[in-house]
Amino acid sequence: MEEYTREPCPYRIGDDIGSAFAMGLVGGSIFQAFGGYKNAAKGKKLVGMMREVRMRSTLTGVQFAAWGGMFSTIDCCLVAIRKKEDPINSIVSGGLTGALLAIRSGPKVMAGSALLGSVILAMIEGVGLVTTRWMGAMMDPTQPPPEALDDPRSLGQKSQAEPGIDQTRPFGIPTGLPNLS
Amino acid sequence: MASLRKLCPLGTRQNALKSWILTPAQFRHFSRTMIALEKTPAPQPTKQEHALQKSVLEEIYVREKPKPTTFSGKVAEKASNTFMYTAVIAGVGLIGAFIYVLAGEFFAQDSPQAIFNKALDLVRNDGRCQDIFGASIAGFGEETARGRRRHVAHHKYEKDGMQRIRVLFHVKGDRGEGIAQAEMEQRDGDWQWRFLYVEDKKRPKTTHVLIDNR
Repeated sequence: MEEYTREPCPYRIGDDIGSAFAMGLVGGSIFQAFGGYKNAAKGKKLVGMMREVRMRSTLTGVQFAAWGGMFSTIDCCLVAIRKKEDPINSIVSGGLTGALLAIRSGPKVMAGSALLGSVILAMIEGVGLVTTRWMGAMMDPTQPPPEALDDPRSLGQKSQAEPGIDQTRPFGIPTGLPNLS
Repeated sequence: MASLRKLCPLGTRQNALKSWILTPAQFRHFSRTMIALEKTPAPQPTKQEHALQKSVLEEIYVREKPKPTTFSGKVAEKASNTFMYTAVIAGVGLIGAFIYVLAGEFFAQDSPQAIFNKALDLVRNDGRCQDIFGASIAGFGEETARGRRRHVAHHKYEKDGMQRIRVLFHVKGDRGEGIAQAEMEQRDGDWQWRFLYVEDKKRPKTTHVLIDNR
């Protein structure tokens, strides 16, 4: 039971580093394969491509991993500070990640990179929000409307009468003594 | 110096070193070194730039293209610049529209996020909730496989001709953990609370109703 209810937060950083590395590795391999093929000498195309992929795609993976790890760390810090999880967290942490990873290039580059990071994250979050909101209706227009929910049972039965007003008397005259009859 | 002048006759003084101290090969080497030293410009404190000192971002941002000299080149540059500016303006416009739509979504009265924010504030400021869960209460939505808990579960429906939205989220404090359920209803075009209550996950359940406008 403990396994299912534990907090995701510190462990999520490792997950994110790994998945970001994998993403960067795959994407970098595809990207570098094109460049390697184009730049290799004639007759050595495949060898050149393979070498380029071997040497460069891991670097891309590492850069992605740095981004992902930094992002997740900041996100977890924000969750711990704000005690709330919502899209603002990820937008802010995207911006901070961009700024912190470009910290050696000076404030100008940092600002640009921060803006880029937060805009990208805002877009990702926004697309997620919009899809959850609109996709259900758009995918299947023939589906029945969402069913009406009953009131939760733990709320109990609320008496329809306002307290202190006797429904048996006309005009809802307050009696002062509730439910005498 | 006097002794040197005495040693060599007039006109051959320059070659004094050559003739008296150094062998011809040594002299040639020496004079070449001297000339090279004279020709070398004073060492300027330029910033050494190589791959390790320049970040990738810097290379992208701080790069200058050579200016075209021919007419066709200039025209091509102008055309490309115009296209780029148009693309940038279109992109900025698109992002602006997107952000506008998103902000509308996010801050709309009936968006699950807005209801979650308001309900969480109510729960946090409620004394009884602080008794049940602890002084500082965290709120979050449903957890995904990747450890994100940003999605707030919600259900929109219509009952008795009224639009309603029910929102469910989790609350957690130092002392315990629970679920909060809230429902809002659109009455006369305005979204109002229908109910808001929190429930402990421990057994027996503690239920605390904050709002009940049914």
